[in-house]
Amino acid sequence: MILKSIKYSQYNNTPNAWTLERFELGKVNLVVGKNATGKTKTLNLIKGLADLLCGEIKLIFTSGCYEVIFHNNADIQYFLSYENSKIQKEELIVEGKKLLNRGAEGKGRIMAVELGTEMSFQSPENELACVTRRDSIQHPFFEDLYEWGKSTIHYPFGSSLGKDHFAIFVKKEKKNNVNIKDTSKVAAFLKRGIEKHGNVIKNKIIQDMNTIGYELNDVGVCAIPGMSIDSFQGSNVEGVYVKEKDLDIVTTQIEISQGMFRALSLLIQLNYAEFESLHGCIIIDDIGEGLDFERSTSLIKLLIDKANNSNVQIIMSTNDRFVMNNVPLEYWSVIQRVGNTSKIFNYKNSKKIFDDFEYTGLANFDFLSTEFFIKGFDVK
Amino acid sequence: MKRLAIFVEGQTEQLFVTKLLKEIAGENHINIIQEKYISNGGVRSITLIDAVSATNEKKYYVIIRDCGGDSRVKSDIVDGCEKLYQKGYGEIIGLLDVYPKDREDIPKYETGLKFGVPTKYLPISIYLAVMEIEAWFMGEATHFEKIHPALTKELIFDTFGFDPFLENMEMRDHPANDLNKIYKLVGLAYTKKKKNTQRTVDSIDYERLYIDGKIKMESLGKFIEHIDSFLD
Repeated sequence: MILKSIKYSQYNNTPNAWTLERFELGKVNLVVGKNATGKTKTLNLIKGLADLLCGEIKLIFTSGCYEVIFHNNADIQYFLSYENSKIQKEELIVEGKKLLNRGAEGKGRIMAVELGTEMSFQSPENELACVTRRDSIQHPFFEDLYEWGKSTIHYPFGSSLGKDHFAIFVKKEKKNNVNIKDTSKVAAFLKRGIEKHGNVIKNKIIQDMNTIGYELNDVGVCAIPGMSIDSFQGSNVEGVYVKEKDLDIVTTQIEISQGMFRALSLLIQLNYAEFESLHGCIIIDDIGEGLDFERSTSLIKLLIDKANNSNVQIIMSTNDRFVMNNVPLEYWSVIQRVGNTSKIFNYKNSKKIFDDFEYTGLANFDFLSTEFFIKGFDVK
Repeated sequence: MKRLAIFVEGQTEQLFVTKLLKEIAGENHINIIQEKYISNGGVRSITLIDAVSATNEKKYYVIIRDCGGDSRVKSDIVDGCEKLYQKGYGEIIGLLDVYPKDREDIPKYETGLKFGVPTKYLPISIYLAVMEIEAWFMGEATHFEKIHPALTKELIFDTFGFDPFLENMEMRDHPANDLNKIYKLVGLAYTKKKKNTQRTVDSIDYERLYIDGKIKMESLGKFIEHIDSFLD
């Protein structure tokens, strides 16, 4: 299932108001824009929606309004609005049929599929009905939302992405799956992934790293020499290692450069999710941060290829001129903020302008810097 | 000394424009510097390819920069124009093929190429070779028999159905392809390798090109007219 469009507003009619006008998405989306236009905020609100829909979080802001359309063979419209942490309205419409209609005080009507009838219900005011009323027999239409929410993962590429996190694996502990949304647990992802899927997943990670220009012949998890934690005496502190082709020894997590580690962390986690059949939407903020030009463009190409050859949807953001110049405009969504409203310009709502830019002979970055995206050739 | 910078999309254009300038201006009157853009880690830098007949006493000084692709010509002009202005250059010319865009897009392309061109430093003009620079080569049809004596007008017409002596080669949609097919009739090839391109460039009769070619082929005429005005 992909996210087809999203519109959001919060704290309407207050000084804290912010609105994201309707953002229509494709399979591959690169969100670009000047600083403070709402790039990270937009990616965060999509992540927030995903976490809400799978029950990972409850309502975190006191006010918000989502108007969302998903697509999974048919359009799935979902509407959620809340004020003072209480849900005012929640609706689900599939193929034109309203299956959930819930208003204030948590009261609403919901379709019971097996019973073949609508029924009244009342959910807690601060909880989503699509989460509390999950029932794969009577309300199977919530399952798509849940799965999408569960498998949508946000990677803040500009952060350490787990480089400063290490693992202690307690042998007697039951081997639960790692929380796929905790992007700091890189060593755990790799260890669990190899335990479950063997060398296949390891080789895929190595292959992906080689594709983007890091020449490795091994990756794995090992004890970090010299590291221990008092309360876990006798247990090894473990982290990720790589073995580069031109080096005789491995490089542990402590010594791996931040740029390489970001790429490695992302590819470990993406491959883990893929092997666990968990991918809905991949959200990557500040893609390419800390990577050299060749590697960041190779990484993005790899991600675009993954999206185009699978059911995965990718939403990335960047400020990097070189990245922008190497991602085709057809994938761009330019965000512009005027006052407290952010607006998206992309191929879906500005096709002529995007097509016309090709005739300027300018580089992609100039599409943004000249503000051509606003009015095309009419820009003064 | 008058200074001109010409930005071209590739080596073929660079070799041709070098030869054209030497023929029109006279080798003794013009310094020509050939440079090439290189991308390293996303950063563009310029490297010297050749300094053709460079001395300090000549009247004209021209650098011809190979931008390594049609998508780079205008950006490199925009990025480089301020520095060139500071170095005393009087104007900049760009030269691009229309192909792979379509013929019907030419007016839009010409208009689009004017967008975003800085006006505060020095005059910048960007010309299109319709549909490719190879049309200009084909339009100087006497060069074929210099490439190989068997490449006669009759052979070309009988094989391909067009006459490069009489017809306007700007009407060919992919002249580089045409050129290669014609050369292949005698076991040769037209490729982007320097040796092959130089062979074609050296075979052209520039006097014919200057007198007849620029009248027959409008895009060539516009380009030569601008070169002429620089050399006045």
